[in-house]
Amino acid sequence: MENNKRRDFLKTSAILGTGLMLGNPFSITANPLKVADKINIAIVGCGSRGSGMIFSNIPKIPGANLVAVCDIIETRRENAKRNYNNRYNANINAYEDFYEMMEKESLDAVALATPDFWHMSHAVDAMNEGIHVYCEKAMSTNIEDARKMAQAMKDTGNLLQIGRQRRSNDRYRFTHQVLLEKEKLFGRVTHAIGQWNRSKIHSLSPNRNDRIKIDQLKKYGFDTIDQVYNWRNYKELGGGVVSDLGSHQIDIFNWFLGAFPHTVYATGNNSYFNLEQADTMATILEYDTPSGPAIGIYENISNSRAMGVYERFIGDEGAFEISESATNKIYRESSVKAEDWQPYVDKGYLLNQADVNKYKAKESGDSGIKETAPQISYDINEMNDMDRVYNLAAHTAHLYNFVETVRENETLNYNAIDSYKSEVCIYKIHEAINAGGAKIKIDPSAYEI
Amino acid sequence: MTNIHSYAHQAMATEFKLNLQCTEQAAADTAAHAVFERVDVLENILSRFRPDSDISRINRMKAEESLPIEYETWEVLKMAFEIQQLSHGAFDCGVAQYLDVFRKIKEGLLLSSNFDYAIAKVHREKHSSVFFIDPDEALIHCVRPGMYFDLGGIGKGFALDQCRDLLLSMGHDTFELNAGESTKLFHSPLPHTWSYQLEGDKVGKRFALTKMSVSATGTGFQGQHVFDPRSGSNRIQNYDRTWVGTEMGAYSDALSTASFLLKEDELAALVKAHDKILWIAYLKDEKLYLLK
Repeated sequence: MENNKRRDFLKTSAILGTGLMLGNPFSITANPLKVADKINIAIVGCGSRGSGMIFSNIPKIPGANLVAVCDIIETRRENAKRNYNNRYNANINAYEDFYEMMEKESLDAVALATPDFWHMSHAVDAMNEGIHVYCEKAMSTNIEDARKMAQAMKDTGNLLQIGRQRRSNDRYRFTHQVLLEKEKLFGRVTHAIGQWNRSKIHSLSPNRNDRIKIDQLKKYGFDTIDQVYNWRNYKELGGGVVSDLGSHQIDIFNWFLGAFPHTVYATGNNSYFNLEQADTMATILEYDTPSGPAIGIYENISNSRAMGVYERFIGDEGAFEISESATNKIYRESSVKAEDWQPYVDKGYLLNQADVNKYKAKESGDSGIKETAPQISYDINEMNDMDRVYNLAAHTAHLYNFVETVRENETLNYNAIDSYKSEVCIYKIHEAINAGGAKIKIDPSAYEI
Repeated sequence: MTNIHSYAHQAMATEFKLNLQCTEQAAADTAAHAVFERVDVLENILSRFRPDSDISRINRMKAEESLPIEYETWEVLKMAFEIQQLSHGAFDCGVAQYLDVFRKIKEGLLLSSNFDYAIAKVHREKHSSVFFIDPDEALIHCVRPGMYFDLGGIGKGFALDQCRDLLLSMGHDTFELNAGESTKLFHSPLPHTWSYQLEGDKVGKRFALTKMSVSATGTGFQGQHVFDPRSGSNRIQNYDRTWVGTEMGAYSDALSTASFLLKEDELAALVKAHDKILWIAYLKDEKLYLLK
């Protein structure tokens, strides 16, 4: 739409009313959800994460054309197919077998939201067929398979992005790209501290409507129905709290510190839930970062979520707490003057949380007595000076980045080789826990593909 | 009723509860897990206190921007718009900045002497803003910013609607869902019923409910937390408590807050004009009134 016409239209809308209305004032302009040359993609696994991809992520990715879903549980795949087709007036297909789907559909990409032990074979086979792959973390249940996946990406030239979605979260990217790398706002970062606390490891059972036959399960690598629904609790099938939760946050340690640990100490146990996998773990990670030695301290608790989920980084000029929940604050060290950080406020990067000037009429003079000033903390304000801001939820943004990379408009935010490096230290943490609590040195060559 | 399994979960700054009739413990546990997981997902997309939520992103929109939103956000915003129209503005989801002013005064960051100026400024900005919810796709368009969204008055009821649909899809049909005691959603096939009591200090009325959501608004638990979005005033005391019964949690939740602000003749007109409202009750001067 020409600018003048658009302005006229906006003026008319403003005259019609203010506040919240129903309509599309920009209907003549390009819809942000419409693009040409979409890629054909299939979602494999229609459980919690797969459903999120189908109903929450894909509809907001204009370059993605969902053509099929796949799950070994009939009710899951048929519900996903029916609900998607109804909601979006689409015509997607549903498959039980991954390989049958690859053969019948004309796919550019698959997104894997299956148990960890299936990732390597599906990802490698798809890449060998010329199909790009988005794969939920963890890459696998063991270091050898994770290496095969990264190697296949390198050998085939096809794309493999791993689903650690904080890597595409705008605030995490802004913190890394602008506050840490460009402005070095926090001085020398010496500590990374993270926790993931949750109140329970849930044991799921089939929905009343699920109809599962044991012969069918065995064909797909499961011995029991419990393994299908609770695969995360089995060492052969998943990675437990270390891979499921810890790997997200330890990957952030590595990213923000710009290094990978040379030594890990870790311990854990299954004393609370008595499952195969540890339900409690703690680890200390030693780094040599570009600005000096640093320590990472990380823990998982599965019987209380009182303290939440967060990562905290401590530098000698400032510190910050960042999370995907409500816990997000930036602190200036007392030795740094407020005016030293004022340029970051002026650039729009930071918002002083105690600043209420916008709500005040002009000050009418100083009586000489002031109230006690509140402790000052900052929050991220505008994400200015970034290479790009997705303005999408992180799970959507991460898949969006993958799709746009397939469409040759972006590069992957988190390819399998980057992911493999973080997985190396995750598998070393598993090794230390399984050894009953151990200190393990990691040779720098272990991180190379 | 027998075989009732009870569960609780902290979310949306309150406690959600589920009472589920089920003969198998494992199936009940799975259903409860799915329900509370759903509530957590909804909190992540609908809470303005989560910086990555849809509502936080909407609150950061600039002039002439369009934003793809979750299907659920789209649904709840359309309902919020409808209820705003229905209540003539007594319910309004564009009130985040008013609530911030109240909070900053409570925290001591803003002096009471600044209150009138701050509210007038917020009111002015809100009333000059223009947002459109796209009727065809899950999009929101910002023509002019200045209104900031808070779904605290409708989100918990909407979450209960979503949980009801989830439980039904999992093959459960007899349950009571509760969001912080202020909204309860009941579901059961006849002849089973759930009991709900409207209660003041000296009066009460009991209902036997099968498929209904009931929400209450009052000043008993949270003190004077209700304000009138039409004026910005929080000095309101029409009733001691109001209740609204509807088929949908989102409607009862939002309309119970609105009904607290409306006068008695306006409440009567509201019940009469809209078939989505099954009844409204209010407690005034120790008397309980029921409008059907």
